[in-house]
Amino acid sequence: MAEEKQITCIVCPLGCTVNVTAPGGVIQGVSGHECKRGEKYARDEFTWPLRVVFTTVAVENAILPVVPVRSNRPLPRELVMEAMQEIRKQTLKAPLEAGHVVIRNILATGADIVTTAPAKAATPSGSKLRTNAS
Amino acid sequence: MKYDVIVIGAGPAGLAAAIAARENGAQKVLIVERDCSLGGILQQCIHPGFGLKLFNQDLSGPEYAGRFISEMEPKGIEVLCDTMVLEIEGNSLKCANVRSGIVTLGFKSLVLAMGCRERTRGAIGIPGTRPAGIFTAGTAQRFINMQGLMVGKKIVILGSGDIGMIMARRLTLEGARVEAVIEIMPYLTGLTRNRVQCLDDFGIPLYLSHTIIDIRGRDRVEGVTVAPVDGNMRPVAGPGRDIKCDTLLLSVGLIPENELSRKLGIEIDPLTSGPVVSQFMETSVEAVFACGNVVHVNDLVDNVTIESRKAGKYAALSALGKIPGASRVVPVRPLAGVRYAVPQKIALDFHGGEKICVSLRVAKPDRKVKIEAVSGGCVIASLKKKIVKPGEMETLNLAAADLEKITGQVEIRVQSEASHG
Repeated sequence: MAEEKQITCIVCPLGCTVNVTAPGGVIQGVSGHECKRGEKYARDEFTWPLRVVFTTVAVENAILPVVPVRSNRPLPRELVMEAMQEIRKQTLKAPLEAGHVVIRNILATGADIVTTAPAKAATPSGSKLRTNAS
Repeated sequence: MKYDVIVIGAGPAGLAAAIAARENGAQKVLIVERDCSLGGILQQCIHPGFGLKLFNQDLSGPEYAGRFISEMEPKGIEVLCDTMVLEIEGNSLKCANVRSGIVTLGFKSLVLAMGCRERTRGAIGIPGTRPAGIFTAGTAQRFINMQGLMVGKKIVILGSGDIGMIMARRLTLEGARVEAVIEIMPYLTGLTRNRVQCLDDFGIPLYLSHTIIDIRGRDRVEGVTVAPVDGNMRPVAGPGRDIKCDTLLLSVGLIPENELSRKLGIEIDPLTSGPVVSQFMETSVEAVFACGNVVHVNDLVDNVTIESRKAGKYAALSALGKIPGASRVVPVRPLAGVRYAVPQKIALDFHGGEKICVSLRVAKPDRKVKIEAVSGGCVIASLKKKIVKPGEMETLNLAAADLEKITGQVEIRVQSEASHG
């Protein structure tokens, strides 16, 4: 693990560059932040960076061919790409409500992948896909 | 058939305005939308970061829109999708609907909520060939997030605006390689949190004070040439640096979409490219209101909602004949250090006891400043800021009591704290 790391705080627009010194991975010093929130952010981000995963999943029989999904809580950052691989394998069937669970407890993280918009079923007469241009 | 309030556009601005109009007494409210579904640009903004200010929750775009869409039906708000407004004639709209053809709709008051559109290659004049593979960032976003179509494999993005950075992350997650984000300004134009989570997380290089001076490729983009720029944003002489790519995304700014407003003869502010509005979000044409990105380009949707609720409320009151005619109106002018301020005018006779939120953007990044509203040489409101950035909109509140101190034109300025001693 890096001995020293520079972390840009994203808590407020100030965007402090916070230096975390951590010989052997143990935080010894945090400097460069202008407020306490910056220190907490830098400590958390150094030890356990978390990110919400969001993407789309293919959906059959729908007006649009994909439906947006997200993780209902953040995942460890290093698992984001692996989570994407798992989500990509899924295919859903319309109609679907927003909040439909696509994958429960993805990669044993405790987070579920859920749809964030409804997927309406395509009507037999309606066009399958309509864009702004049409 | 006559509506109390018609709203043009079902994006975040239009949805909030329609709901507020209904809540403030308008009986018949209609939203006209050209897309096949509601939500506007939020439909393709599948990433989180919405609603932090308004709901204290980190929502995705579709979730944020969903909160408002679910209120439409129970509130009895009518919606007409697949419909393009062609003209506004007096108190009626002439529209083209996919199924019914030309439709005419009457209104007592109107809310313009058409949003904005992206600047294109033509708008910034990048030299080079004209191959396939050049997209505005928002178009690429719609392709990927709504139509399930990938736009390329090796990507260069011009512009460090939020959509560009968010697309850098999205494309990386979908397996593309983003070679670089190029920004002509010496600073990031989008939000810092997007640089951290969209570029730094994936090791995507950001080149500030650089631009693209050539696009190569015959059928498809094969590469771009990147060069540093001088203090006047002109490329520095020299060969530049080649970056091989098959796709170029442009995230080089947004322009409020005001074709309809212009045709109606509404006064447009050259600084915002949007209608000049009062604190009620009323344009220079009586009973025509405007809100959201059609007025000025916002960085946070939460601010759009807040402003649009105001437009909807006063559109309803106007339809019900509850807004008295204003006899004393003063202009709001941005001074040195301020790029623009909205509203551009304040009516003093009637304020409904409500505070006025002046939205503004600073001209350049700065630290330790005071944003002030000045009238007749007196400071009537001020706001201390540790840091200001052109990419992050500021709000200066004028309390109803502050309005009594207004003696003429209101000037908005940014003062360095140091100059105050």
